[in-house]
Amino acid sequence: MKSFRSSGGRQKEEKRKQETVPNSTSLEDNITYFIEAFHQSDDLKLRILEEGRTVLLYVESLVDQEKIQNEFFKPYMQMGDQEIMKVSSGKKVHDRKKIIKMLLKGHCAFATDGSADMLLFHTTSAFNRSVEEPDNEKVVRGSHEGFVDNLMININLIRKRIENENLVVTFDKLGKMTNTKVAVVYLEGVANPELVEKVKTRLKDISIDFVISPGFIEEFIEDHTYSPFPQMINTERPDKTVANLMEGRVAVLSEGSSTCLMAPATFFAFYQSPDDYNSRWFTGTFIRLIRLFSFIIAIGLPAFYISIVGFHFEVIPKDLVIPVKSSINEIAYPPIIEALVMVIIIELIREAGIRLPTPVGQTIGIVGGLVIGDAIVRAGLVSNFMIIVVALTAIASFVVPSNEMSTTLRLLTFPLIILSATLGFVGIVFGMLLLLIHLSRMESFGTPYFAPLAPLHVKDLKDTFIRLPLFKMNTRPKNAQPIKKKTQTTSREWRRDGKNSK
Amino acid sequence: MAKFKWSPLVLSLLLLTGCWDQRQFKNVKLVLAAGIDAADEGQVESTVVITNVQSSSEGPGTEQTQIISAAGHSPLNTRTNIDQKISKRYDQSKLHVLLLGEELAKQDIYPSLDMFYRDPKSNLHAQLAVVGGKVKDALSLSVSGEPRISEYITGMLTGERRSTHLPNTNIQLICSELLEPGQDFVLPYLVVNQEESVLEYRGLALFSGQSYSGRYLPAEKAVLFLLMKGIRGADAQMTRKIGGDDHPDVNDFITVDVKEIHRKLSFDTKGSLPKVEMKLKMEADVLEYPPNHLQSAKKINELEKRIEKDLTKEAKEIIGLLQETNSDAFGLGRRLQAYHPKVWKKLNWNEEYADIEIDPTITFEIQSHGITN
Repeated sequence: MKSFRSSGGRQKEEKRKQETVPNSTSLEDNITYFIEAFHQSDDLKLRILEEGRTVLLYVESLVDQEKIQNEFFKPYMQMGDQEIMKVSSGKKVHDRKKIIKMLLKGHCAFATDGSADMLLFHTTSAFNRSVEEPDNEKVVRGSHEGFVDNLMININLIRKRIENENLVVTFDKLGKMTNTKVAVVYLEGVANPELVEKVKTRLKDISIDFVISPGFIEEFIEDHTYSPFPQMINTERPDKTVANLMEGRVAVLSEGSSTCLMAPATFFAFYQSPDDYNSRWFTGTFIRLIRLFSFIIAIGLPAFYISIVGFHFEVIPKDLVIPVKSSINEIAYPPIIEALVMVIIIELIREAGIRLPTPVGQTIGIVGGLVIGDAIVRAGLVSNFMIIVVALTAIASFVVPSNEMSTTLRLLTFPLIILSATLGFVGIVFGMLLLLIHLSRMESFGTPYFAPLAPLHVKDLKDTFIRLPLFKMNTRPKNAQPIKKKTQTTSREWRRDGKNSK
Repeated sequence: MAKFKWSPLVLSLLLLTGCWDQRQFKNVKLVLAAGIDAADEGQVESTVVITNVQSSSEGPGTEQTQIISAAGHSPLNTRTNIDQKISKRYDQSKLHVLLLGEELAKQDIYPSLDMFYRDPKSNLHAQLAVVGGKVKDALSLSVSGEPRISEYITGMLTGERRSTHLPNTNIQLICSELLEPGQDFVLPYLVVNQEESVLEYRGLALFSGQSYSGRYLPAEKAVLFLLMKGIRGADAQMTRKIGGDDHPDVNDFITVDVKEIHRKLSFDTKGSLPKVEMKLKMEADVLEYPPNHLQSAKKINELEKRIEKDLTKEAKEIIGLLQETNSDAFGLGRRLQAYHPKVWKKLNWNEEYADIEIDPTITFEIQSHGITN
């Protein structure tokens, strides 16, 4: 295992790591030590063999009994306790600290009286769910594999797709108490070494007791924690990860989680989906434009409607005047209350739907969507138009392929609703202006967040608002900071002669 | 946190003050049609049609119309007086039609429109029309099948516009023509038919300067007038008598649709008064001609000559009427001012417009005659 902890500033920790406690030669001492080290935990199992001269030690909840049978007992039965010490699958260790660590990984330790060395066998049991398509990032065509909660399987899924020795994986442990294994994956020769270094340094600086999910890591290493926008691409799809690695991004994976983090991210990266590349490029472009349009609807539509009925109703088209008027005429509350009520109801239904088991979740959907929606209009609390507006807004916010961006959008609706209800169109203009300023000045790992729009980089628009045919994408996008710019030369040499038959 | 100490104050100052300017759409009384009449003692009387809607959870709500009139010294003064008769306040920023009473229009219409030009919220796209008689009667009509009088009038005017009986007029469009000496305008002239309880489009009210001259161009002549102005709607149909005697029957008429017009205006400024030559070239389709035999070039030529003669005569009548009423609806003055500024400066256009010589020549060409001969 290659550790990327450099020497600078971390000496205290280094010292703690290097501390070794050698084993005693007395079996009894050793056993007592381990039992105490595990605070007499009941799942630390001792198998006393040879009338007490040898002991097999393991944490019952971490090992696979069958593996113990194959790895240890089979050779042991054949060779006996003297010969077994020479078996090559076992590893001799005499450092107690190290032994504890290995026991916690699911190894079993074989100790003999009179020897300070203990023999460790790899008997880890693994419970893995199968590689399935992630529920929150489904695609119509293309790969249906998704990451699982096991780091090695996840890296295997990536390695399978990039058969290249330049794919570098480095491990580190995060969480002072949980010791969660974290992997940084990048493509040497494409990814910018400065970027890789930046990610590693920031990871190294994390000093927290426990790291449960990539969400923790993201919050520690992102540039602007006080921004509502996500600054690392978050995916459970190996194909998406691979595509981003190929562009020169750096991926961070952690043990026990199926989410992969990738940096640097830009705003528009959250609007790309593998589906764009699996379908024809016209379709991909069209769908991407619709998604970007949904951004405007998701954050601006309720605000726009509120300022129209609250301030500027002269802009309502002639033929809509009476329908709108008749819809809102007898509503008891001002439009801002209407909007907030509806938005909050939708959020409640959504949140309730996530937590509940599927059959109950569906019931909630029906009760919420139909009953509340219909009854609230009949009761005169909310107008028909407001329901249309808020429902459209909710749908638009779910169009975004990334869940993080989707929640951000729904959150941003609120300040704009308040601004529009107090200042009308002027308020919306102010709100949008602030948003634009914020987006333009943000950075993610050294990449401008709103690139390629601000700063404008015309060449990269090819894969931002639209998706050009793949053979036109000869260079990697600048926002991933790759050191190798070219992706291909001429991929369609056969077109040169003007004959398609070749 | 100390630096955020004042933020609640600043935020409430910024946000809460905004609420004061709210104009809740649900709290206004919508005026979609309004009209102004002349009243006694130099006063004006405004009539507004307020559309009240009762919401229902399914389908469109039910509508009720409230017609309120009040007199006052000025249009805005009448507004105050109307507000005293209704609940809440009325709002005319969604006004669709503004009707002007004949008597009021004869005086000066600018004072009635002044408030619309000043208020940024007013709907300058509202259509204008002159009503023969009282506006109040027109707005009080209940036309069967037409729940909203505003919809009825705008629909009628839009229809007339498409059939080239009416130029596009609204409050905004007449603004410059109202204030400019070299160009006058026309407005649709409507009369109330109390028997059938409908409004009728009679023709184009001719304006001179800022006031209605008191005469209107009948609807039959409006098409030719507009074509002479260079305006054509979706279609421009004209039915003209060709041949026949004093007792014409249906076979003596032809209906054509003018598809294209080329207009050429030239000024001869050699004399003391400028001479205007108006050359019009029309290309038309025959829509209706029962006698048939349109396959022969000779016959077509004959017809063309006949129509040309007819139209030229009619054009002269139209010009005569315009000069009589001192209405420069063709905008000849504006052209003269643009192309011959020296001549324009010497002239008192308002006085001398009626005396200048305007000579129309019309060439008519039949291009097609439908799918039968």
